[in-house]
Amino acid sequence: MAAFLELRRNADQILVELEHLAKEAEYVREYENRASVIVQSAWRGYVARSHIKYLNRCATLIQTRWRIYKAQQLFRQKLKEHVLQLRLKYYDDNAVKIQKIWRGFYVRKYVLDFYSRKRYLTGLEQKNEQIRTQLREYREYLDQKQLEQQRQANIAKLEEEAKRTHYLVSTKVVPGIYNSKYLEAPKEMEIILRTTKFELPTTTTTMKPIKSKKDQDIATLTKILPPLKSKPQGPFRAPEDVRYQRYRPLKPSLRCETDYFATEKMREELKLQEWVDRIHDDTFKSGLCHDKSYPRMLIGEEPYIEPTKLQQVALRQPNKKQWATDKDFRTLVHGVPEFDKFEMTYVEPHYYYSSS
Amino acid sequence: MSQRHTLQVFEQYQKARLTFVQSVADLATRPQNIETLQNAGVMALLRPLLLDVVPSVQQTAALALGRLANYSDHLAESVVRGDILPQLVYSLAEQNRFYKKAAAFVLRAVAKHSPQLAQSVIDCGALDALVVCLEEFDPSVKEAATWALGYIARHNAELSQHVVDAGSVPLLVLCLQEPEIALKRVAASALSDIAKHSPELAQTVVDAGAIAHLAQMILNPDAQLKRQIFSALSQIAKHSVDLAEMVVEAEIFPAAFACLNDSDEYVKKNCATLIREIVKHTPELAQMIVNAGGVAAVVDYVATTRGNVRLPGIMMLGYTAAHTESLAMAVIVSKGINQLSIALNEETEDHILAATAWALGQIGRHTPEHAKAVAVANVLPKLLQLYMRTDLSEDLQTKSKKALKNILQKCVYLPVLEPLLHEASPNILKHVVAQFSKVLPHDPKARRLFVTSGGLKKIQEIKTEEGSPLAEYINTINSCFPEEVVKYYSPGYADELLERVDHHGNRA
Repeated sequence: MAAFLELRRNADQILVELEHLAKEAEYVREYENRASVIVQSAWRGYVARSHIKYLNRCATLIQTRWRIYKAQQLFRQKLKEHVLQLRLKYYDDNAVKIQKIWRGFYVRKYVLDFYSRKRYLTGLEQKNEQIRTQLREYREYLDQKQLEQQRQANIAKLEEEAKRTHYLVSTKVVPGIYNSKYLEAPKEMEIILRTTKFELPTTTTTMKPIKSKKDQDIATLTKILPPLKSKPQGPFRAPEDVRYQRYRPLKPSLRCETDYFATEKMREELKLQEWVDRIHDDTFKSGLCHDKSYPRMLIGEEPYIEPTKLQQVALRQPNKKQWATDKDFRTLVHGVPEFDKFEMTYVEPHYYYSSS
Repeated sequence: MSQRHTLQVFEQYQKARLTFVQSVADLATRPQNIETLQNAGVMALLRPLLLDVVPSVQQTAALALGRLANYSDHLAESVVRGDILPQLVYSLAEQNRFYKKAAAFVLRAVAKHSPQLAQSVIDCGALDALVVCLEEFDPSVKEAATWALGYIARHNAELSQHVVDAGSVPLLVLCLQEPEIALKRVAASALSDIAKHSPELAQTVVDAGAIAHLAQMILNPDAQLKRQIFSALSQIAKHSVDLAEMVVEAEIFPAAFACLNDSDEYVKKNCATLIREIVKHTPELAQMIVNAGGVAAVVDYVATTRGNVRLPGIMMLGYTAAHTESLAMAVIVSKGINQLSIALNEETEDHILAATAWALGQIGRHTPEHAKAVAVANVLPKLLQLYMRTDLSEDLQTKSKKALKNILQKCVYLPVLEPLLHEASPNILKHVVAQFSKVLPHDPKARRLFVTSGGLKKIQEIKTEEGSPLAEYINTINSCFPEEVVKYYSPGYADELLERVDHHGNRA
């Protein structure tokens, strides 16, 4: 019990000491706790970190392996594409080469062929020369034609002149003005005068000598008569009268108009007309024909037989009295058997006598 | 007796009317009388005579009116104002052929002065009456009606359209086939006047089958007819490629080349115009004409004619050469350049010179060979001269400048370029120097020639701004030569040397 009382006396102190010890113990415990926590945490940290490191390494390994795999695939594909490109490029280059050579050849041969261009230009020059000569020839031909026409016109004019001045032709006694005895040969006008035929002056159709004023063409009215030269004098006749007088047509009499040989010609004409109308040319031929000789009747040609003896004359039956023998003709030569077959096996068509 | 007396009065009156009208018609043929006639009031007097009983008075009155209206447009206007036209148109349908001729003459005389007068002629309904006249038998009536229609259609496209709408084109083509030459002439000229305004009108003319008939008459000996035919064909061909091809298909070549040598100037001119209109459209047509030998014919034509008449030929050569370089070579081979350069030297009128310069430019612009051929004909100095002269028209200056530029840009033949160095103005000089700078770096002989002919010296004397293309060209040229040579030829080198002599003397 003493202990217990001592204890109770010292209870506070003990409690204090106990508290103190407890605090110390607590303190130390806490200290150790903390230390152990630190150790534990360090260790746990280390373990966790190394685990994580390990995991990281694993993950990295997986990732690298995966990436390697993927990259290799990609690389292989790229390699394939690259090889394909190389091949394509190779073929393209060769194709370009072919195309280049072909195009050069084609252009040089067909499009811009130098030699054919040269030939074309020489051909063109020749064609030009041809055209030039043709045109020149045509020009010359036209000029010549024109000259010819002019010449013809001149000659026609001279002949026209000659027709009107026919009285200037020279005669045997009096040489005309175009023919002189001092010249070697008569002039050309003289020759023309000699060779022209005198024609009656024809009335021009526009001039109506008959007096008619209706429907005259206006233009012809003003230009018919030549103008008067000097002062006009005195009463004048109407222009139609003057025109009629000036251009009066020739009215020859019937005796002048008939031909000198009219009667002979008429005779000839009548003869010809009659010849046409004739049937035949025999002059004394009559229409009856007496050429045939008289044909006797058949009945009169036979000699006269008395009617009683006529019975013996049987015209259709054989007269056996006249025969030498009774028998018929004997066939000495046997017939050709082929001829029996005639018209049985083969029928040769005769042109006229066919059986069909 | 009194009956005869009264009839005599009437007869005298008729005679008086007839003489009056005939003398007016005669006086109207001379221009100096017409003023007096107008002042005397002839229009008012002639008008009632148109309605006269006697046919010859009517006809002569119409003829007199026509001659008066023909003279001036005042008189024509007074004819229109006097309401004479409807009467004429009405009687066109009724009367005999002499009257129809005279009435058609009046209509033609009125319509020829201006589009307004032609419109007033149409407004009176003249077109139908004239088309009816075209169906007559008498060729002179047809000729008068055709002439009137042609004059109406001449002014503008609208009037031509009216004429076509009246159904005149097939009848005109029928008139072409008539044997009378005068009628053919007038029909061809009327068709030409109709076709010239627009492609549709030309197509109408072609659809009526005009081309075949026109083509048949090309070698007719009458010169006036040929003029009109070629004019008609060229008016048809000028509008489009199809029409030109149709004209060519009528096989007028090479017969048409014969007409280039005709004695009549206008036939030649119209023929050349036709060829020009055909060649203008496409290279194929130009090729066809060249293959038929057309270029030679045209070059001969240019050689033998002068002045305005050769203008279509020159233009034809220019159009041909413009298409492709082989055609330009064909022109060169046919000796076209000689003729063109002669023309350039001979001609004085601006538009012809402009056309010649243009044609030469077209020939020379394709390749160096072409440029050389053009330049060798001594054309460039003349072109330069034309460009430099300020008293000439703008058009000529621009054309010669363009031609010069075109030729110079391809010309590498140096002996020809040298004279230009000395004379040219700065903007032309640029091109000349550019050409030198292209050739000199590669050709040693040319370099030597360049130096000896004084070209290098001239180059040094040119003043330029830094950085301009001209300076660059000059540098390129200078770099072809050693420095001493360049220095030797630079201006003021002699003075520089003398100065150095002085300094040397001073020092010593």
